[in-house]
Amino acid sequence: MSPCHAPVRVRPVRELVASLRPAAALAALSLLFSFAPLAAEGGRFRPLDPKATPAFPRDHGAHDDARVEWWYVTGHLVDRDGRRSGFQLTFFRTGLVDEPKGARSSAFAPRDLHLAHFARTDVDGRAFRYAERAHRDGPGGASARTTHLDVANEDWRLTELGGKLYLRASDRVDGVEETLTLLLTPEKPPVLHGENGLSKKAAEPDAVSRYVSFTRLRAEGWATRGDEARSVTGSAWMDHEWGSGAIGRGTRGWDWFSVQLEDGRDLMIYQLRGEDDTRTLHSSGTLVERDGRATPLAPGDFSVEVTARWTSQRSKGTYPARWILRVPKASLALEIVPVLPDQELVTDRSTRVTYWEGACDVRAPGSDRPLGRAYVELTGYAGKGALGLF
Amino acid sequence: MSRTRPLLAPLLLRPFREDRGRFVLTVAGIAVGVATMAAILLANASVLSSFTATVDVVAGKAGLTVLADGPGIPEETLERLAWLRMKGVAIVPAVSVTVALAGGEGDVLELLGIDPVTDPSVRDYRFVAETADETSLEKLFGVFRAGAVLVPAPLAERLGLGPGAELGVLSGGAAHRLRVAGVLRMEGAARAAAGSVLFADLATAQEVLGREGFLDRIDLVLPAGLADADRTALEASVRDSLPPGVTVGRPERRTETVDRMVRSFRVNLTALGLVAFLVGTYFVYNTLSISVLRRRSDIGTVRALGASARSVFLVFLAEGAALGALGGALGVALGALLARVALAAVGGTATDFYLPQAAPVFTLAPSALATSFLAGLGTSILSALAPAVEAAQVEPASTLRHGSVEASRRRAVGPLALGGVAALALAALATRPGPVDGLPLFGFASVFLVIAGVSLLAPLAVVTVARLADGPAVRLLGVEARIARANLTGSLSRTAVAVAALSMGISMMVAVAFMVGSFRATVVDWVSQTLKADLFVAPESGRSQRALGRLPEEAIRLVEAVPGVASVDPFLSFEATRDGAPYTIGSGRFDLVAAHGDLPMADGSDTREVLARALARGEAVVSEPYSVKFGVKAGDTVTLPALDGPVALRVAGVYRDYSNDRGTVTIDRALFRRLFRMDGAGSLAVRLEPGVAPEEARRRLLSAAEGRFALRVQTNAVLREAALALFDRTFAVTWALEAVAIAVAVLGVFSTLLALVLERRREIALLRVLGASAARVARAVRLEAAALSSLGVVLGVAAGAAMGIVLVHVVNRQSFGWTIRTDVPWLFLAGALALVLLATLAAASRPARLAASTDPAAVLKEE
Amino acid sequence: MGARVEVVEVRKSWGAGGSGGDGAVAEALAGVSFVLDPGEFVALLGPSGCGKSTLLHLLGGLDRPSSGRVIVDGSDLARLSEADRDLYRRRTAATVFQLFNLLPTMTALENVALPLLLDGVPASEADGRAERLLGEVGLAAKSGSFPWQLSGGQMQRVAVARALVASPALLLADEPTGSLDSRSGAQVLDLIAELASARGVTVLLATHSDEAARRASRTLRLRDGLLER
Repeated sequence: MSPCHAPVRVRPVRELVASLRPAAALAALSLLFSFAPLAAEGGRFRPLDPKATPAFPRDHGAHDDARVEWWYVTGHLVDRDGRRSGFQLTFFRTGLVDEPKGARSSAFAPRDLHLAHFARTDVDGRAFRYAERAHRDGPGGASARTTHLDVANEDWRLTELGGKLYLRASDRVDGVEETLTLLLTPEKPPVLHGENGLSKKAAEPDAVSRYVSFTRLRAEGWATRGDEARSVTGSAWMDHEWGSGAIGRGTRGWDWFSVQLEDGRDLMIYQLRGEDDTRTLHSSGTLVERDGRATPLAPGDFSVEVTARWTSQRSKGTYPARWILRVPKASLALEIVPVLPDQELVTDRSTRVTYWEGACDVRAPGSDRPLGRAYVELTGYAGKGALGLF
Repeated sequence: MSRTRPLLAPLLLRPFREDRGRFVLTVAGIAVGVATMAAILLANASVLSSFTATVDVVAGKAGLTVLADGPGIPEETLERLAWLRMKGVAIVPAVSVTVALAGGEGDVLELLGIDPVTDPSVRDYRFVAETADETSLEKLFGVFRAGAVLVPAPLAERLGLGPGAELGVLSGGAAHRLRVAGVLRMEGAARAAAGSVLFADLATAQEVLGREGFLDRIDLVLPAGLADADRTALEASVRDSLPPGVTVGRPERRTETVDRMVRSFRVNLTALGLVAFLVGTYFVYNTLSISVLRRRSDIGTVRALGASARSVFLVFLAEGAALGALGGALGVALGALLARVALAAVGGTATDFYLPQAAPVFTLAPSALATSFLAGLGTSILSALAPAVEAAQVEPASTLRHGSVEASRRRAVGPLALGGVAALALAALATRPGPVDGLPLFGFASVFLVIAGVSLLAPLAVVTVARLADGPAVRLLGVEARIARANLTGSLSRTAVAVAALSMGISMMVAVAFMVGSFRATVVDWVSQTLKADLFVAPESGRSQRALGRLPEEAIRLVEAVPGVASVDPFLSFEATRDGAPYTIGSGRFDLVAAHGDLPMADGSDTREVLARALARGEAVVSEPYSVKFGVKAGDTVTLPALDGPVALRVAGVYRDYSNDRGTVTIDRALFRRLFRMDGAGSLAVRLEPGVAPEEARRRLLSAAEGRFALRVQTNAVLREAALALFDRTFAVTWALEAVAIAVAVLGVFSTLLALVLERRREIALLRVLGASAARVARAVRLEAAALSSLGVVLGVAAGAAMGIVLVHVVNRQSFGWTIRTDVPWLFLAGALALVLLATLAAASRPARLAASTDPAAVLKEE
Repeated sequence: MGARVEVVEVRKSWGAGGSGGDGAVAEALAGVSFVLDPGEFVALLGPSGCGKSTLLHLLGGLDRPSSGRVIVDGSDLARLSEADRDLYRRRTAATVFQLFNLLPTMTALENVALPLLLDGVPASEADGRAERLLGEVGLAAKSGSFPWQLSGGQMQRVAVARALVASPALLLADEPTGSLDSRSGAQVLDLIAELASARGVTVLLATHSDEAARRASRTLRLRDGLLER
């Protein structure tokens, strides 16, 4: 799941885009949920067909009839010297124009807005960095192929090659270019969350998205900084979600967990919080067995207990900072501990979208025994508008 | 100066109060010169600064800009540049074309196609009525809608457009409906083209302009704090990744290119303007000389009272400065007014010819104002030097014998004449060297050397003519002729200067008449040779003379299909640069040109033959300006920036072309389309089947296009007329300048005569004592005026003819590359010269009356 | 033939509406009467500012008296028309001044020929007569010289030649030697006396030098606008 998992239109669009700067993809992020398609001639965006079964590799690619779509890769890496790091690379696509393809002659004919987000957590260096990209369709900008997985935003790319995924992203840090290039090998088949991949986000019938994940990808590749290259290995998780409906009405934010356990099982859980920030509106989860078998988890199948909180000095937002997840029917009790407290993305000056997205360790509660790794996303805890708008 | 101050009131201020008329005249004389210069400089500065401002605004924060040096920047270039992003460079594409507003007065606007996502990193957009709830970016994203445009507030107000309103623009022969998505505050990008600009999405712009696949600029925003050396290195790397026909440079470069374009125009005008200045200078000299004369006894008195020669010198220098400052201030104001009017009236000329953009806005460039003011002040002070020296030489309490002063001057006649001959010889030599940096500097030097030479020869001419003409003149005209003759040679320092000044003015008029007349005759000739087709079709372009956008192929086919149309020759071109100098690459159907032969070759060879050969062998023809500018002759090769890489073509011949001074390489349409993958046409030359009336065909054509294309269809006669009207409009300024020069020169004769009469009061009294009647004294003055102006006219015509030849064959050829056949508008010249003679004679009447009213007894009593 | 000049109660004053002055009335001549007989050489003596020049201007037809009459050969100058006065200056009265007698822009010959040309004499004849007269004043060699190329004495000799070239009846000389050294002055006076008597011209020589006055047959003394008896 991602900040966009709960696209809502509670407040007017304009708040989202308030003093938006183009360089900040997160700005566009908010647009992603809210931007009213420009042309209303219509016919492009369609509601999801509940009966359709996703077919791969085609459905790893883009869905032109979906208004919103994203590909989301998170992962944990370690280099030769044992230095640990986490990364997140997200490609968003949102339809700008509701008209059939090929109606216009310009290659720049606006169709989608493509946004991308690349964050890295240096666990040992205790540093967290992120970068953003935003482009419209057209040469040299961004693209998302509909035939198979191949999304690109400038030089950032996520594409499928012979059943494996190739990922590349870069960022300039203090004038020095840093890149991450990974080959991701699925160790389990794609998981369809919910019912046939349909993930309900609220009570409304159209508040659904199609949600597909590679919950366990073996990662190997290179992390470079300037002329220095370090080989890295680790594991990653990819989400792919799309849909056209108005989803998440009345939602303030959400907490989302992706957990990879050392015993080979994977767990995804999300909770949508209501406006009063206490009641959970909707929650769901999926438990993926070692062999790839996926079991949907109903709200009653799991619990999330917050055991610590952390307050951001920048945004003044107070986030949950430690949890105990319990899935009794799978005999799971997991303590989730962020590798760094501060993995908050504050874009207060540009987008006012502020959220927390970070790499976490997974331990047995009350002991230091490592059980696995996780990525957690927390939205709606800080910021004036932003996710505060949920 | 403290010792000088007490002298100011008695020597300068009071006399001026008494002699208000001359004071006013002098100030006006200087003002005219300064105004002329200021007007030229201001008009130029306005054109250039409007353009520069637009360049700056459009370039925004870009450190480097990629521009087309060919038909356009292929979109794929963006991909070639993607690596730049890893260097922290933002890449911002844009499309930019000129369109005309449909309806109204056909205003010309710039349409900038932008990418709203990336563009704000280069350019700022601020909307009117921007609230906390609605921000710039959200509104900016409004242009994503097909056909949506953003309009600067002043333009929106002028056109009465609000958000959601529709407006139509014309481009490429089509009317496009656009819808206002937002109104911009007159800040940031909205200031481009002084607010005559629309912003649309890249895709909208490409589609409106038929520019799919191409961009016009890619702005590169460099990382902050990039060292200049790194920027240069980056520029080189960018250049290496660009396809053929695309260049990169610092945004300033574009200004330089434009500066080069308008430079010829400016330099030519400025050179002409200098004439008005020379004449103004003469004015100051003359007025101060009169002041010195009139106040000779006052000067003697103050000298006797202990004023030093230096103080007297400074007083008169101060008078020059005061006159210069006053005239300069007036002139600058007048010049600003002139420039404003001129920009409105003929400003379109420079713009239409040189700048692909909306009309320039009048700007009061401080440097132009300062330059002309200081020039006025400086020349006034310089012109005051000689009279001031003269004043300083006045002995205390004495009346100098004027003759002896003149005597020393007369001894200088020989050396001056030698100098004049040397100047003329140098003038002849200066016609030899080629242009300097594209400017005909030697040519202008030659023109000014002719002026200098003739001026230096003026004293000798006066003396010689006086000697030779004395006998016959006295026999013919009586003793007044002798008196006049004696005065002419006796006050050589004044009369020769008056003759020189008049001849200067006349020579410029003659030269310009010579040049413009020749040019016009040549153009008329050329127009009749080249404009042979029956109808000319271009996209409707509102007020712009240029064809805006390209007619699509369908429009060409539609015209071809109109009954009665025999053939259609589409002209298609784009701008490119060679060694930083702009030129045009054009195309037409060589088979048609070869068949009709309507492209006269410079060397007189047979057009049909040359074009047929060029068509068969895939060769190019180049225009004469191109040939002259780049030194390319038939048989040489030219390299064109084809999309797939440079292509070298042999030059089959050089053709005459007066429509474009940048130079054109023309190739066959089929070859052009292959090399540059461009379609459509900027304009069409349509030939009709025999017996089809052009007006009827025009009607048919327009009705066929009705509702599909907005075409401007002109018949041969109308287009010819328009071409010549444009020509005449272009040279209107020139004539105005010359009229000013002549007027000032005639005024100069007047003031010289006045000076001479004042100076010779004693002599006139003596003549009266000897029994000369008042009428005869007046007649002598008139004869003198006639002699002065005749001499001025003769010298002026001679110098003017020489200058005309230099202008036509050297200056013109070097700055524009045009061959012009000599064609002198005799009738016009004769009329103008007769007018000058009459004017000088008329101007002589006041001095003559003054001479006649001299009371001998009163003058004698002054002793 | 010399002219007969009759001056009767001539007064000349300036100011109060007259040319120049500051409104106060200044009387230059306060009632002067005398007669010059034809061919007579009369000296007019008096200090500077006594009215000598004013008197000469009246006799030369350059100015009109405030009252009284100037009668030359029977005609009252004050009653002559402008044209007749021009004619009178060309044909009857010639003047030699102290300074600035010559047009600086003409040669000696041209200066001498000028009165003839003004009187409509054909140029060739005028030049011939001027040439002869220059010869008589001993300056034949200087005929092509401009005034500034001549000495003061030579200039005055040219002036005398010019005064006499049109055969006037009356020669008015206003301090003709005033700015010359005594030798040149004597030469010029000799010339005037000699040529005038040879032609029978009536001469009125205004001077303040007794030396000059000695050559005259008669002397008039002017003081404060009145003739001394």
